[in-house]
This record gives sequence, structure tokens and C-alpha cells, in this order.
Amino acid sequence: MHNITIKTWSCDLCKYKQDFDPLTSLMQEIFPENIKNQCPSCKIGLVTNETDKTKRIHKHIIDEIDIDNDKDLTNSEKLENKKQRTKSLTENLKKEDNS
Amino acid sequence: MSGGMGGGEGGVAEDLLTTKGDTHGYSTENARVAIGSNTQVLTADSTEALGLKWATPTDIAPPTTTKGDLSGFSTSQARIPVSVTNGQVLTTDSTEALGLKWATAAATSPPRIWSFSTIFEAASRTNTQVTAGGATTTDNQALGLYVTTAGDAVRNYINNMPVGTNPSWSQDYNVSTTIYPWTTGTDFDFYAGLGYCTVTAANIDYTKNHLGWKSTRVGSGTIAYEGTIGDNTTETAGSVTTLDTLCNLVKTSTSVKFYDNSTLRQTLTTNLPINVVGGDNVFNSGLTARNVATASRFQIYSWTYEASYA
Repeated sequence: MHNITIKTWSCDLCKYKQDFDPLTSLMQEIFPENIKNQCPSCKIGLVTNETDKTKRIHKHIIDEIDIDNDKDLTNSEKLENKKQRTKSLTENLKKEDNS
Repeated sequence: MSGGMGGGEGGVAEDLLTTKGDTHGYSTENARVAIGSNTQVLTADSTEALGLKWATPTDIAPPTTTKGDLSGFSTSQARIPVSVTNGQVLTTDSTEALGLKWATAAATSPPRIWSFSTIFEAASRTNTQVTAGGATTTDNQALGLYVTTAGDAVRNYINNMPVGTNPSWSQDYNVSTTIYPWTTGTDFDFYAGLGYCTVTAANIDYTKNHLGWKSTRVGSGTIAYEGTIGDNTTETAGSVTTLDTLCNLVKTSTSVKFYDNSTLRQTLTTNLPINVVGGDNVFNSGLTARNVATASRFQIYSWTYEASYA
């Protein structure tokens, strides 16, 4: 299981949060009557990038195993494969975490 | 001859008024006050030779210039321009020069939230204490209410709910229970929502396909309340500050919106649950009573699911 925080936008007044960029096109798709950057909850504050990591939205990701590729391998080879997958996943998650 | 209205010695000269609308004035002798312009009014003015004049009444003339304008006032009349944004409402604001402004209306409740209230009253509040046990369901349409504490897992759920793109609903599905009291200082996980999670010895795996609310109290610390969704691989969740009385979910094809007592707390768009009944416009509603200040109690009165196909 991997736990990361992701880029989060929150209201500076009411603490509303969302996990997508408040671009006009996206906001209008999800909140048709909304104004760019305006908080869709209180309608007063502005939705801005959350810089406090403890307040960001987070993701929990389970590790994935390709059973077909591993079925004929020895235990040490399976372990090595798992290490490689974990390393790759961790690197990808770090990129997302720092976005 | 006397008593006539005509001019004569000591009277008013007959040719004093020359123009339609002229009127008499006087200072030290009779004098003509020439008619003013249209809409002007006769106004006393001691600086004028005759003590009056025709003038435009500045405080009566409307300040409006554009369709939809309003007239406001602070120390004098002033224009309140019509809003350039349709749908805005006139709002009092003491910081504005005229005390008013056009503003977007305050957030409104999602549709149909309050229609559920009678369902809660009729179907819940059983005050039955939860007992441990129950089998794991793999039906991803299940309405779930899961709790773990000190390795003791509690599952209360309804599965075999109608499935398909447009299922027929003959009733509202309700999971109702009360956990009371909780041992002071006990850590726990709590989940209520649509879809199944996996209850492990220690906690709940929220990466499973679901949408709902969860609460955790770990390390005898503060309880965290979060809106949570999962797609069988990844959970996306975020703190929603508090859970209060009435919690609601609104799912569309692009987002899940979390409402707490009619206040929008969070919108998630990634890792949306899959195969949830109803597609767009699924309304998922629950009633909870959150913990008291000591975090020693956690009461869950009911959790109700209803689909809408608008």
C-alpha cells in the first residue's frame, strides 16, 4: 500500500476542497453556474492551491502484481520483480506528490 | 378710471411678460421671471436678483442610465449599475459606497436532500447495539456500514440491491445501527456508504470500489472525517473537517460531491467508483450523529441510499 498526497485546491474561507484544477472549462462542467476560481461551496472565497501538505487530498494505492509474468519464476526472481515494481511505482508517485 | 388690470401708474406694465410660461417676480419692483426649460422647477435662491430661478432638481432626476439599473442612496441619489452576470441577486453590504451590491446567490442545497428526512424518522433510530460478525460481501452494489475497533470488525450491509443501467426501485435501502457508547480513547475505523470495503484485522481497506464517508481515530488522537471514493485499485480521500447530522453524496459521471449538512465540503474527480448503480444523479444519503467532544461516543443512526434517474 502506498500513501501519497496529491495536488489539492481549497477555499481560503470555508475550507472546501477539490482534486482538480479550477480551470473555467472544468469548473463549468462540474458546477455549471460557477465563476472561475470562485468557491463552489460558499460562493465567496477563492479556490487556490493548497500548500499545506497535511491538508491535501490523499491517495492510497494497492500494489499491483502481474501473476502471468511471475508464475514461472523462482521466489527470488519474484521478489526482485516486486522490488522493481515498487521502485517504479514509488518514483511515479513522488512525481505526482510533488506536482 | 380705476380698478383695471391694465398697466398704469403704480401697476404692472402690460408688456412685462413676453413669453408663454413667464411669471411675475419682485425685488424692489415688479419684474419678469422668464420661463425655464422643460422639467425644471421654480427654486428659491437668495443669490438671484429676484430670489428665485428655474433649475433642474438634481436630487429628483433619476441616476439610472442602463436597462436594469437601480437608484441607490448614500448622501445623494446614485446609480447602482445592473449586474453584468445573469442570476446574481442584490445583496446588502455595508462596505459598499451605496450599501448594496450584486452578488452570486449563496450556495444552495443539492436537490432532494431534504426529501429523505421522513425516511430517516420512520426507518431508523432502533438503538440496537452492534454485534460483531457478518460475512464479507463481494457485491459491489452493497450498502455498507463497517466499523473496526481493536481488531473487532463489524459489518452491517445490504447486498443484492437492484443492478443495471435503469433498475426498478421498490424501496429505499437502509442500513441502520447505533454504536453506543464507545470506550473512551479507543481507536477505530468507520465507513458508511455505497460499495464494499475489506475489513481487516487492523482497519478497513478503502481502495475497494466504493463511495462514502469514513472516520478514523488512530493513536488516541483526533478523529479525522473524510469523504472517500475508490475504484478497486486506488482510494482518493480528503478531510472534510467534520461530519454533522446529515451527510450526502451526489455522484455524476465526472465527480462525487460530498455534502455535510447541506454544505459542499469536497469534490473528487479521480478514481471514481465503477459500476455504481444509476450512473449520473445517484443520491446517497446518510444520517449520523458525530462523536461528542471526548470522542467517546460515535452514533450512527442510519445510512440510506436512493437512486434518481432525472
